[in-house]
Amino acid sequence: MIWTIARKQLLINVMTQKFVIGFVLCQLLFLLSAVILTRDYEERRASYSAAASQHARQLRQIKVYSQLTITVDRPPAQLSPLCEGFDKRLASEATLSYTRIPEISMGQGEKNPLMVVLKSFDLVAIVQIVLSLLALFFAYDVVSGEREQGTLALTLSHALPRHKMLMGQYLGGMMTLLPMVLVGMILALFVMISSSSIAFSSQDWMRIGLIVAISLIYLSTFHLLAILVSTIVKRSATSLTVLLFCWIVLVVLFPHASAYLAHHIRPVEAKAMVDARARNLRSEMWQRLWSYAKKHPPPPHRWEFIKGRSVYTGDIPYPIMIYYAPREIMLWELEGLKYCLRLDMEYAERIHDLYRSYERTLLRQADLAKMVARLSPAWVYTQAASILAGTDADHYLRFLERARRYRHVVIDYVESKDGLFSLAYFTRRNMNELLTTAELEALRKSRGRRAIDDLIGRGWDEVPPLDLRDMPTFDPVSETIDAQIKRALPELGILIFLNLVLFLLSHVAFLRADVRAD
Amino acid sequence: MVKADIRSPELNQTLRVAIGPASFLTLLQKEILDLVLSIRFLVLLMLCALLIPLSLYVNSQTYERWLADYNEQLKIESTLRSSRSGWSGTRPPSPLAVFANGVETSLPKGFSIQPNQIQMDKPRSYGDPIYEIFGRIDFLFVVQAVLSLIAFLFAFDSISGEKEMGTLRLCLANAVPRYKILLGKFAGGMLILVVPFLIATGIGLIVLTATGYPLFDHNLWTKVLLMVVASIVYISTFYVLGMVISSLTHQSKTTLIVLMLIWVVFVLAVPRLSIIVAGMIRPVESDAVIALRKKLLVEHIQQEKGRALKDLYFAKARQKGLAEGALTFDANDPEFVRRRNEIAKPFEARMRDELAKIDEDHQRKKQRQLHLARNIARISPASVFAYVMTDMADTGETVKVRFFDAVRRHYARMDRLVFSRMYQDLITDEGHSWGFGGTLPGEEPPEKPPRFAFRFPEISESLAHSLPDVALLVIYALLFFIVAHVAFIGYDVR
Repeated sequence: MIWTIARKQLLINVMTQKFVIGFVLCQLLFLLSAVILTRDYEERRASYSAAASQHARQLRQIKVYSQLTITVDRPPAQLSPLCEGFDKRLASEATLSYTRIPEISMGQGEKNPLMVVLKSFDLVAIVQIVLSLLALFFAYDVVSGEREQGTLALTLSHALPRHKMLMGQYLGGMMTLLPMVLVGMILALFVMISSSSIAFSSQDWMRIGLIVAISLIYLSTFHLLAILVSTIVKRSATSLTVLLFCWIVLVVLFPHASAYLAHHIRPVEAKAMVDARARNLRSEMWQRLWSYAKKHPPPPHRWEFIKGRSVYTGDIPYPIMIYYAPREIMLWELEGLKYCLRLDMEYAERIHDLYRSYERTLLRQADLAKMVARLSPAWVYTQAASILAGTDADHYLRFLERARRYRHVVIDYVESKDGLFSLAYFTRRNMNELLTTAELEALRKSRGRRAIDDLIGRGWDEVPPLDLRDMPTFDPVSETIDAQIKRALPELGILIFLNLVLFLLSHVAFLRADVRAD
Repeated sequence: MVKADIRSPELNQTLRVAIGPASFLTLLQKEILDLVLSIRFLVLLMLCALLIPLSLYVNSQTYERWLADYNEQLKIESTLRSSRSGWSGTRPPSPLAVFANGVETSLPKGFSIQPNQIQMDKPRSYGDPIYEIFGRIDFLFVVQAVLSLIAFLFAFDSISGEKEMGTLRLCLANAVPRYKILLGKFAGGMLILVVPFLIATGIGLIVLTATGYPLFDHNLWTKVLLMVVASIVYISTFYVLGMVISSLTHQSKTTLIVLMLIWVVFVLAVPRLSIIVAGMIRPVESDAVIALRKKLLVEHIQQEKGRALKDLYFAKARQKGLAEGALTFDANDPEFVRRRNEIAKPFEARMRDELAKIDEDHQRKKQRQLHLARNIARISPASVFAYVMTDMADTGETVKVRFFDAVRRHYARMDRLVFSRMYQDLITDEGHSWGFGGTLPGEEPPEKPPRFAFRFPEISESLAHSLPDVALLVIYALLFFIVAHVAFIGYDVR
């Protein structure tokens, strides 16, 4: 019996003009968005590989360990054409060195000031906004309309339990929505896999399947809401108005309002304040470096014996690169390095702590906003979909965390090579081969300037780069599907719970409904 | 069939129309009563009263913060050494961003300049990432997205719904010209839509002035007034469009679905897609690429200049009797400075020209892309409206262009007054490199270089700029009305 009702409902829906128009427009939107976003993904992929190879090339050119500043790149998520999330809005790389710890940073800002409504135009956004509206339109008059037409009393005059009737109507409506989602997704996936830079693994297919399933559960929420309102309300026109009001509030306003609420309940201090404190710490560090330098003046030296020297600032023994210098100068630089670099690294940690606590307040604020936004199924849905697509904010935070851990791996590696607080940090010479100023002077007197030049060499250009092939590489490993499902579980639970509650409520309302036409 | 309730006030009114002398006022009265008594009116009232004052209040708080931040920045700049003034600048926030955020959040807060380099600051939104995640609501958004939807909701059954009820036939049985019915419906619907909107806006403005927003400074209120007028035109465009579709379809359900799809396309799809499509048709290199190209150019020309200057510097050191292999700059020797300038100035002029050319080229390409995007977006009244509002609020594309222009002009002025009177020579020889820099003797820059100042466009200027778009909105409304009329004349009311 349920199936008869479902088939009837399906036929009623499908035979109308609204189905045809809705269907065609949805497929067009899906197709358009898939084509545009796939192209966009290809471009981002290309610029990612270009950036990654550029950074790798830089790494192959370094000549001393002080130059080891590594930029790690975040590949764009393959499923981002389905659900863009934060993939484009957060930085696509992180730079780290001994004294630099990567912090949260944004990608390019929103280019279009007119885009106040939709942050992105991906497939999930189409389901979230357009299909949810359609789900309302297919169901806003299922009960009230039939009552107005008098067919409801007619149907129920059979020995048909009301829950079966309700179930049938629900299934009929869902069967109308199903082809819209499925055909659209299949079209979009065709576009995506025809691109040379997209290759889905079996796990990706599972993720896509899950996103489709969540899309259906989300649409079912709105469908049930429509059934509920249409049961409670007497007239179809009223039911429609109430539903549109709910839709505006749930889909459009709630996510925005939650941000304002969170901003007022848990204000975060301005980033400029944190930046200012960080600057103060930096200048404090330089003060200490200067006072150290005053206490440890360089031994008397002659510039002509020093070659290829680059430093942060003249008189502080904090060398970056020195091609050749007399032994006592090198010793002075080395002693200084042990103090300066250690201090710099210590201050990097302290500055990082500042940003870390700022980051924590941001996260607390975002958590509150998320909690409030969870009242809106639309937010819950995009959140779940972006977790599965690997484009949510947490995904970026994980990347950042891995980059920070990788910094420690790099430091350990350089220490194992004895390249951190030693001569190898800033030069390729070793102590034994260096002459003192006095010895160099004697040599010049006896054998002339040519001999000095021959001894010192021509400069950095003829030094081969360091061999870093055994350095552990950064792996921007993507999350496994199990972990993603685990993270998306709360959101999924909320959606399913909402469905159950709405179904129960409609059942109760339908049981109590007066089915006679006015 | 629907049985109309004889006791319902709507039907009473309809009957009065059908029976009594069909004056325009009676029709209007009927429409108004019809709509006021519906639940739609309640929804409209609630949404307007809630959203408009709240969004204005919250945004004005944000503006206060931006302003405080800006004043702080100005204070920092005034404490700088006077010779360093003009090396950086800040952009004031637009007070009207309270009504339309526009580019205010995404434009750089300010900039700093050095010889051959302009460095933009981070945008304002950088400090509030939470809004980046969840988005913002402003007056523009409420009208553009929410009120347009409500206008559709008011208009969708104006023709097809009355036909279904059978009341349309009753009306027309009387000697009422069809255009009068249409006009009556338009006037009644618009009145019902606009009055709550105006009341809510009024409350919002009172709240704003009560919390110290400078509504009456700098003629802000005229711009606000114009924004409200543009909003009414925009709402009427959507209302009339609703009537068009309603008189083209025969079932109110179909009307509704068609209208919602139009809404999705106009409000959601076109503004987004216009940018993407324009980016594909006329691609422009990213700012980072341009910055890199400029940096490489500067390095390249600096090296060439260094090679040309090398002999002069060595000769000077030999002449002064310095050690073998030394080189030096001598500020006390006018002959040396003259010869240095003779060699270096052509390189510097070339660098200036080529940098300007890269900038100009890039700017022109960006401008063309922007124009294309704007023209594509004009398909949709919603984006036309957004352009009008952001132009009025000084947060539109014009202000963006104006700001970048102002920065470039400021750089050019600083270049003329300060940077061109400095020298910066980089000389490389056998693995050593020496940098020389400072002020050229005899060409001291002014004590206090000019500060950067940014002025928002005059009201006449923003008006002139947005006039075509306002006209376009009116044209849309008129066009839709004509189509509605034609469709209604041929409408089968049975």
